[in-house]
This record gives sequence, structure tokens and C-alpha cells, in this order.
Amino acid sequence: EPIDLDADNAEIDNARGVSVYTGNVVLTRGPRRITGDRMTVHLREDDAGDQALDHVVVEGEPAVYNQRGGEDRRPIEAEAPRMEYYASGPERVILLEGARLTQGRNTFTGERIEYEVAADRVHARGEPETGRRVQIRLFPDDEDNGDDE
Amino acid sequence: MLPDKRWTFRIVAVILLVAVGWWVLDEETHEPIEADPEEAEQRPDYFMETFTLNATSEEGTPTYRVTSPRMEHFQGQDLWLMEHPEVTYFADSGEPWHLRAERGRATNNVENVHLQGEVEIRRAGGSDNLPANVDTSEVHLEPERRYAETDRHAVYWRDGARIEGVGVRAYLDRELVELLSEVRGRYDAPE
Repeated sequence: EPIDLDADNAEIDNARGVSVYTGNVVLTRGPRRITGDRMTVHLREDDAGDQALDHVVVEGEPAVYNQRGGEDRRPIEAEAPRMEYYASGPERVILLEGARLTQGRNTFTGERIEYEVAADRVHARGEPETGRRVQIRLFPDDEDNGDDE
Repeated sequence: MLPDKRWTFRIVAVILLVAVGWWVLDEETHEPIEADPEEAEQRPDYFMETFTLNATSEEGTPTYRVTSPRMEHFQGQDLWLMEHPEVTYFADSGEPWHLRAERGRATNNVENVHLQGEVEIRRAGGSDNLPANVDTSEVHLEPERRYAETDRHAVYWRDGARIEGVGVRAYLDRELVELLSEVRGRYDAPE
């Protein structure tokens, strides 16, 4: 699926291949949707030798990630001041600077949370230096394949 | 009979002399007919075919070039009208930018250029830069600054990416293209 971005304005740096979208920014890709105030799109050369979207740095107050549920998938909702969305390798979203994610009824909070889209897997991590810990609330009857470190 | 003929000849000669004299005098006092100013402004005072203008910096390096198969100059407004103009911006590094259109107007000694009609901005990819294309319907240029702007809908595109919006400011010397409103970007999924 292609990746679409809508915004109030955009600045394209043709030398570095970086584009910055600002103002009511919405990224959509199939059932996934990210909103934020500012998104910086970074490219890389893909296997075909073309410049392809590598990752997007999302900033917001907060930035929000939504993924509709499906037959075998629970809906995901996550928010954090800062996110990094990787379009491949595998497709994933990394929530930074104090994140919260809900997967169905399960909730995860922590300094850094990574959600792998294809595997539908959550990794949550605290921050030993500041003592900020991971908190997970699971509902055993819901199938859970998240793990914490 | 003879004297009558001679008299007739003398009278006719005098009349002719008076008439010519009056005509000459009248011609001098009579102001030359001024071309109607408006009409003068509509008509080119000169035109060039296969026209090329090369601008260089103080160090002599090329900064921009303007070419057109036909350019007409209108003195009244110091205006150049160009058919199928192409403006080339030479970059400090990387490939040059080419800006083409169906019609162009240049004023103020080519300090301001206005391109209209299927405007294409093209840049080949190079070791120092990505390829870039911008399509719009109208653009205003300031060649000295290698700057371009429009308030029209515009599409920036290259392989795998297409970003459109309304209004553009392009600082091509700094390789920066700003889309000013209603921006929509689409990126192909990476392979």
C-alpha cells in the first residue's frame, strides 16, 4: 500500500531528499493512521535503486497512532510526544519519550514502546537511568503476545 | 499669338512657385504626426529569433540563461515577450534547473520573468542532488536570486513520490521547495 500524507504545508529539501510536513499532518497507510503537528520524511535507496520512503519522524502534542482492528487483530491506539514510523524492514512504529499503547483491552506504558505491524507484537521498555518503568495491564482471556523487557 | 503663350507660361510658372513655396513652408511648421503612444506600446520596437541571454556572476560563472525561439521587445513598457521560453538556473552544486513554459514575459531588464502555460520545472538527478520535477500553470521568477514562486496548484514529483499543493516558493539556489497549502503527498511502498 502507498503511504499518503496530508498537511497544511510542506518543505522539500531536494539535496538531502528530506521533506518536512507541518500543520494538521495525517499519515495514512491502509488501516493505519498517524496524526501529529510535524512529520519529517526520510528517504533511502531501495532494492530497485529508487528513492523510497524509509521512515517518518512524527512530533505532536501528542502524536497519535491508530490501527483499525480486523478478523484476527485487535485495534491499536497509541500516543507519544514523538514517534518513528518505519515503512519496511519490518514495518513498525516506535513510540518515544513516554508512550502509551492499547491493544484491544491490554494497555502498555513506558519510556519506549515498539509495535511491529505484521507480527502484531508489542515491545515495551522502561528507562533504567530515570527509573521509569514499564506498566502492563493484561486481560488474560484476551490473547496476548506482547512482551516486556 | 506668340506673346499670349509666353504670358500664359509665365503666369503658370509663378503660380507653381508660390504653391511649392507654401507647401515647403507649411511642411516645416507642421509637427510630424506622432505615433499614438498606445499603439506604439503594442508594436515591438525590435524582435530577435533564436534568442539567448547568458547571465554570469561577478566571478564570471554562469548564474542563469534565458532562451526563446522568438523574443519581442516593447520599448514603452521595457517588456520582452517570449515564445516557448526556457530559463536555466545554474546551481552552485549539482545539476542545473530548467524552467520551461509556453509563453514568457520579462521586465526590468529580466529581473522579473513571468512564465505561463504548462510550466515545467525539471532537474536531472546527479551525484549531488535528487531529480526533481514541478508542474504548474504559471510561475513568477527572479532569475538573479534563482527563485520561483506561484499561487497556483502545483505538483512536485519524482520516482516513487508525488507531492501536490496550492502555492509554491522555490529557493532553487538552496534546493528548497515549499508547498504553501492543501498539501497532499503520496509515496510508493518501498520494494
